Amino acid sequence: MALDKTESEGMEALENSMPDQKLSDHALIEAAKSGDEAAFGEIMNRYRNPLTNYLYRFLNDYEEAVDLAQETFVRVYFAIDRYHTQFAFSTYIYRIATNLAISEIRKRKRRRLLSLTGLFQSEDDSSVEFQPPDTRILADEELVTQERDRTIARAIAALPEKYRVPVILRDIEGKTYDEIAEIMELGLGTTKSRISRGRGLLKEKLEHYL
Amino acid sequence: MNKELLKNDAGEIGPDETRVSRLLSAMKRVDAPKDFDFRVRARIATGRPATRPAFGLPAAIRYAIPLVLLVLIGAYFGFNAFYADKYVDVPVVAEAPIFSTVIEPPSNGGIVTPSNVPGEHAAVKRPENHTIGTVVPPAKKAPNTVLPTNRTGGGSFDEAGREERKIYRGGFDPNAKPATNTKMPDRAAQIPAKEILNLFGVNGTFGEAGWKVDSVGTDTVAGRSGVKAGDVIEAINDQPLTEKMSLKGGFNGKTLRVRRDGTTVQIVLKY
Repeated sequence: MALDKTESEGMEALENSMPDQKLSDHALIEAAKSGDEAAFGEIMNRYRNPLTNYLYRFLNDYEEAVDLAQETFVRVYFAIDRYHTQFAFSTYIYRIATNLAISEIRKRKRRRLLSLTGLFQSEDDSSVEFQPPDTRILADEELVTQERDRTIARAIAALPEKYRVPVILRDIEGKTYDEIAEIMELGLGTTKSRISRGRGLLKEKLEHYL
Repeated sequence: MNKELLKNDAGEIGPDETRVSRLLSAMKRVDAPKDFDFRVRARIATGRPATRPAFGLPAAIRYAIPLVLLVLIGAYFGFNAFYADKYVDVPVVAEAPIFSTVIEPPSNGGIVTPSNVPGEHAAVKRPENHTIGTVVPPAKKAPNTVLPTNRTGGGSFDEAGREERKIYRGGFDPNAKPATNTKMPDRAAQIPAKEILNLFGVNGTFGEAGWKVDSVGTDTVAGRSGVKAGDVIEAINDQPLTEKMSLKGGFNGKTLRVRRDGTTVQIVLKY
């Protein structure tokens, strides 16, 4: 699974990963409710990459991110009858993913508390980024980029959850403030201040790259 | 989109924040693996979300059940270790002697108290280790290790493991001797004479000479044996029969002595 990990560059990739939306999410959901498997497939097609990326940046663990992204879709599938269209579907699915990720992080903390080796492990070491071995000879620039990304990922993963979620949603997933406020079920002002505070914390850690 | 994103923030965020934001948005994106859809569908096919509580019971009950079991097991072994040999269950059959061997309590170390043997005080040999005035602790009564082996049925599995003890279903030994005299179980009770005569089929009244037979049932013991109305019953089993007299329940009527027309007739009862 890890070997399937594919990467693409920046925001262009985000745009590419969202296929042109002929049908609205709500229309697809309605179709899926009435048993249209293809509609559900289209929903997955639209959201699997952004969700995987979001969870990957949140957990800094690709395997776990893929697992939770799949779990998110399974939950959506089984709760599809209870989904109400007053929320945007993207908000809904991101909220599920966020909750899953947060509970996963708590589970990890508990596990670390219970395991003897975990007691002496620092937060940073526990979330080592998984990288498939790459046998190509890397150009210097690419090597630097990779190193930088790894440092940023670690810095993000070290942020407290309440700052990590909005910063990732804003700066990596490109959500609007309103959307983030809805996903986090917070007021707009709180959301903005958290994003600002999160960026401030990141700035201290990433001074070298700024 | 990147530009759009920054435009959204324009005027709201400072240059530092903008730089951080730009740094983050420049990160490489990861995509879902190719078998993503397949795996989701496989999970859906199993019919449930993958993560759910492994065990539905609340934590308190989860810990309470093994705790209670442990306490029960501990109590069982504790009881067996300290109290079981003080327990002797009472045998069912009353006639059987409860203990085949009566264990005398051991004599108290050879000491004879003066009151018991008044004249021999000086001759009593004192135990060597005891001086006058020391309190001799009463000898502990040895536990009753000899359990009766002639009892039937019953008992615990623990007991059954010992020699010559068997457990029978329902506590009854099918090969055991039957309890004595099952015909009349209540041997102590006394039955009035009138009722005994009624049992034989005689309806009588007590007169001066004895029990006068008023009537005899045809298909009764007395009727078959030849007792007739007008007879006067003097004795049963050669035992004179009076008004107040009553017989013990274990009794078997065998003969009647009857005065009939001035002569005495001995009638053997036919059952």
